[in-house]
Amino acid sequence: MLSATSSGLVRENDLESNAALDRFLAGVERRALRMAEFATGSRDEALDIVQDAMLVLVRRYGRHGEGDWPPLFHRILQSRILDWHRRRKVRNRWLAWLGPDADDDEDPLAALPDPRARRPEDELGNTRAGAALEEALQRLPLRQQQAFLLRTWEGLDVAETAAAMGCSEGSVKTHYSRAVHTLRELLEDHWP
Amino acid sequence: MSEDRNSEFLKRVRAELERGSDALDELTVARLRAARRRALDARPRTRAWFVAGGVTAAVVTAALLAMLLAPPAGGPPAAMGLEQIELLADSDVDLYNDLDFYRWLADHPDAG
Repeated sequence: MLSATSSGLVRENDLESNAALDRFLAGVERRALRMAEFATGSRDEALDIVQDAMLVLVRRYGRHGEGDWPPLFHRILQSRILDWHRRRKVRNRWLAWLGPDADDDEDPLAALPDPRARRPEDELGNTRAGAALEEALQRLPLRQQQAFLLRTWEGLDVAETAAAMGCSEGSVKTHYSRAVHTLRELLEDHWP
Repeated sequence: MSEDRNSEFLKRVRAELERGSDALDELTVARLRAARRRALDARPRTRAWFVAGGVTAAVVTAALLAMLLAPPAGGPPAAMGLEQIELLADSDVDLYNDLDFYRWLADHPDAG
């Protein structure tokens, strides 16, 4: 009797909490994907990163209060993006050291464009300004890109951005200011 | 002026970014949804038996405490407070301390 009652309550709590997590992730997943995509230049890599961030949030912090999820998720996502860049840098160094033919055993098909993939200008509603923005964002150094997107798009304040990026508030201000300056220069033909 | 231009620039950037994320193709949206499902399915469930065990342990502990603190049958009335119980215990200790005296008194009836 007691067990059945507690079992019912537990199931009800789990369902409510799952629904809340589902709502939160559904609300943030598209922006998360685009941020990871700007950082990696690859949709597949971006999807892997976002899925990993979702898994970590749900497994480790699913029982935390809903208010804790946004800062935790952004912290996890930005860490995963940073990890991806570090791994890529190490891999590139090794490839450079081993010589230009070292990467020959890679699947040549992987280098072919995905026929289902849409071009950046398609994704951005066929606007030239949108395509230029995407290109400009990808040219930014990673930390500037992260600071800019978290502040401008996610609407995080300086302290929240610093927490998400794992750096000081001063660094966030510097990265953000440089990013805005660079983007304005790169996009001045589109948005004078 | 510069602030206004910056603000206008950032507004346009935000609008463009929103447009881009709204325009994601169906396949990508489906893959995102699947990733979300997988994450939610991996969520550790609260074990009902664990909660039931905790509740049972709490009930048993409460019952044991009640039995230990409850007065024995035929003892002082239930309304007796802790102070009264302490007084009674003190008087028992006095009786125990005086036991040698009572034994000596029994052995020497003339002493009274």
